[in-house]
Amino acid sequence: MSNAHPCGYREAMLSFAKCAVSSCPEHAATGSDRCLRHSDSPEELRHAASALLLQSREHERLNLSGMSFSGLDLSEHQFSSCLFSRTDLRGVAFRRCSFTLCFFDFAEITDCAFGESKIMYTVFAGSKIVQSDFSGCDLLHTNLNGIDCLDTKFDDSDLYFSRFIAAHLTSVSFIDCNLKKVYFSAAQLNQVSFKYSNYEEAEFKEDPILP
Amino acid sequence: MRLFVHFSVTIFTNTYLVGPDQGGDAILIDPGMMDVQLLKLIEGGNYRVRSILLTHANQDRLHGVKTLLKIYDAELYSNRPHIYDCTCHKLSDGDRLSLSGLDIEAMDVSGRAGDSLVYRMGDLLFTGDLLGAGRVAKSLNRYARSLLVSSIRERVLALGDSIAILPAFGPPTTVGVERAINPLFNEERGGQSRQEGA
Repeated sequence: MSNAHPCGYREAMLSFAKCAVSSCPEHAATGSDRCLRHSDSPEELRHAASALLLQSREHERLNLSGMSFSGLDLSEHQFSSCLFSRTDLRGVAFRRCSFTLCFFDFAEITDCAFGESKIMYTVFAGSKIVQSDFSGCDLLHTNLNGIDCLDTKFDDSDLYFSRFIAAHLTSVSFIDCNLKKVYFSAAQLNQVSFKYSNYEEAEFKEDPILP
Repeated sequence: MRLFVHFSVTIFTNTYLVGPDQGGDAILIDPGMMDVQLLKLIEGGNYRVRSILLTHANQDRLHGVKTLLKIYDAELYSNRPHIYDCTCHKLSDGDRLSLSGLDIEAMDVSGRAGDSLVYRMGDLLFTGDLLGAGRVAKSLNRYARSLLVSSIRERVLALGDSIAILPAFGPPTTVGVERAINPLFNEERGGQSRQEGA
């Protein structure tokens, strides 16, 4: 399992078996030698994955891509190199969790609680995030580019080096956050609050060039 | 295979360490700064740095190299024959290596003066400063920028969606994400016209 990194970040493993269907570029889902799409019993896989998530608090190299989960309480769990790509997460509690090198790209995240979690080198890009809570998080080096985010709070969070490039943010609050080196370029902001945050140290220009 | 990320709070760049699960010969990618935390990361995992891959031979990528070479008997790989006083294995587009049990492909996707390489290891792509989450490297002029964007589109975005992109600056991303979201490659996100006029 992952160990604490001396400077606060964590180590992670990142290698997955390929789907057994030779022409398929996807990774095999956890509990199967095939991806979810090529699985004979996707619903069984999902049930097994739910049981696995509840069975242990430390998770590494899980591929749950494309699965749907609702109502799970996964608070205080640790996730390292886990794939949640294109998952549908509803009412899932991830409070005080840690995530390192996890991928939630193009996920649907509704009514989920990530409060007080440590989220580093993780990807939420392209996700739809609705009525969710990221308050009190260390959300460092995290990719939230292109998210479609509605009625969600990032209050009291450290967002150092995270990115919201080309994101659509509506009724989203960043109250009392650290926004140093956070990029909002090309983002559409509607009813977004940066009260008490150092938004002067964030980047709102549209030039998509690395330093 | 185990992947570690180290962030230098001095020069704000990411260094990646890749090695076997149980320790042993390891690969460092872009060791911008050698500091105590990076040393602890290497030694704590029982690793010996045998190979150092550089995506781009600018100062941000080189600070750590001199120190590392005093500690470890490591080989350097880049697109130059020499770095400091050290001989480098000069790599070009398409060159393949087997280091620490891992197959690595060097790719020149810079589309400019050929001064950068990216390295592919299975589903991981180490892009240096050429391509990050929602951003690309600085170019000398619009023409060079256009070449770079075209080259990335043809070479990188043609790879599988699930390939993880691990840049020297900022957070990770994936090929699928950049293709769909990066404003430089996606017209719906404001795209090429904004970038070209930037």
